[in-house]
Amino acid sequence: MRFLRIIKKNKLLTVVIGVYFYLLIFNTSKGIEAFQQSRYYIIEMLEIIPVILIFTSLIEIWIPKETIMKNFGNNTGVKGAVFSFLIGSFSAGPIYAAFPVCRMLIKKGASIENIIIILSTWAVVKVPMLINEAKFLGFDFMFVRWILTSISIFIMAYIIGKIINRERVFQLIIVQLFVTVYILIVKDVKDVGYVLI
Amino acid sequence: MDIFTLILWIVTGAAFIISLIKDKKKTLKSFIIAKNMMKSFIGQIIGVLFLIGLIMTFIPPRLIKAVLVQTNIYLSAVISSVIGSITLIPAFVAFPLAGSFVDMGIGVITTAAFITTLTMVGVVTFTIEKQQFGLKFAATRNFVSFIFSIIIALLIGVIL
Repeated sequence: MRFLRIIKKNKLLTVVIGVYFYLLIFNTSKGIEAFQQSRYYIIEMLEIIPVILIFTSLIEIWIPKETIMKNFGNNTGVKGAVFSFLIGSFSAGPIYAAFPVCRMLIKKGASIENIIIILSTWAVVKVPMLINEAKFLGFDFMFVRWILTSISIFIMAYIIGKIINRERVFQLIIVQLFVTVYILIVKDVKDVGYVLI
Repeated sequence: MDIFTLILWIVTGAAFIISLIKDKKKTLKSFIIAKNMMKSFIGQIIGVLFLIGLIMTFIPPRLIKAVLVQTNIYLSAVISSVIGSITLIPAFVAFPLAGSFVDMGIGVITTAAFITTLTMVGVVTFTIEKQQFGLKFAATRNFVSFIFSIIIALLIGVIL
């Protein structure tokens, strides 16, 4: 019974495992190749996620809400934006490593704009990566793309901040949790439709 | 492991030790918080990573290149931005690949579209992002990022 619950909570994982099983049986070479392709990503994840989780939980406990609001909150304007940009630039790891940190920051009162800046910068602006890009695509390409992307990030943050405001995010997350639990308890049918939305 | 990751490990390790010395109970509490965070996270992320492996197996780079070389500029830009949105190739693999795009004569706009969507949009990470931040946030961010990626790619085509 508990096993079924675990499956329901991790639908994506179950489906993926299913596909892998199917592949291993009916097209073994592809199956093995898929494993090999995943290997890099799994290792990358293991290198970064434990650290990020400990880091995030330490910040969550030790850094008070006031500090976060003062530096990343809703009315920090340029200072908050630049701060967020710097954090994202000196980031480590793939974009999903930023998710726990950002979620915690939102809970502690950071503004949506600044979170978007952190997330987008984390994804795009990483100094070693920029050097790499210059090497393979030319300095001009790297520089132009960097400038354009950075400008866009600030514009995007402003736009997205307008579209979403903070309370809605909390409500949405809570509503989603409730809906998911409701669906899991009341319906036995896979809520594939909900996931696909 | 790149230098930022290393620095993060060192900083976090030091912070953890300091935290342990200052207040053992609080540190233990942080451990529990971290564990709960991991529980909500780990199933999804492993699923996503293996899904990427699947995608990489069935849409290998050589196939992408072969398709892109043959199609005209606008169609190939569209294709490369779609592929870029779906994939999550690490940077140091993506750039040589993009470099080879240019060498093979696939235009600047297409290459730029590939890279911008690759880094800024994540259809694959969408499920996790949705779970962590809510559907509206994830959908909005990805959608707006996609639009801007295209704009950036076009601008690169104009400037360079």
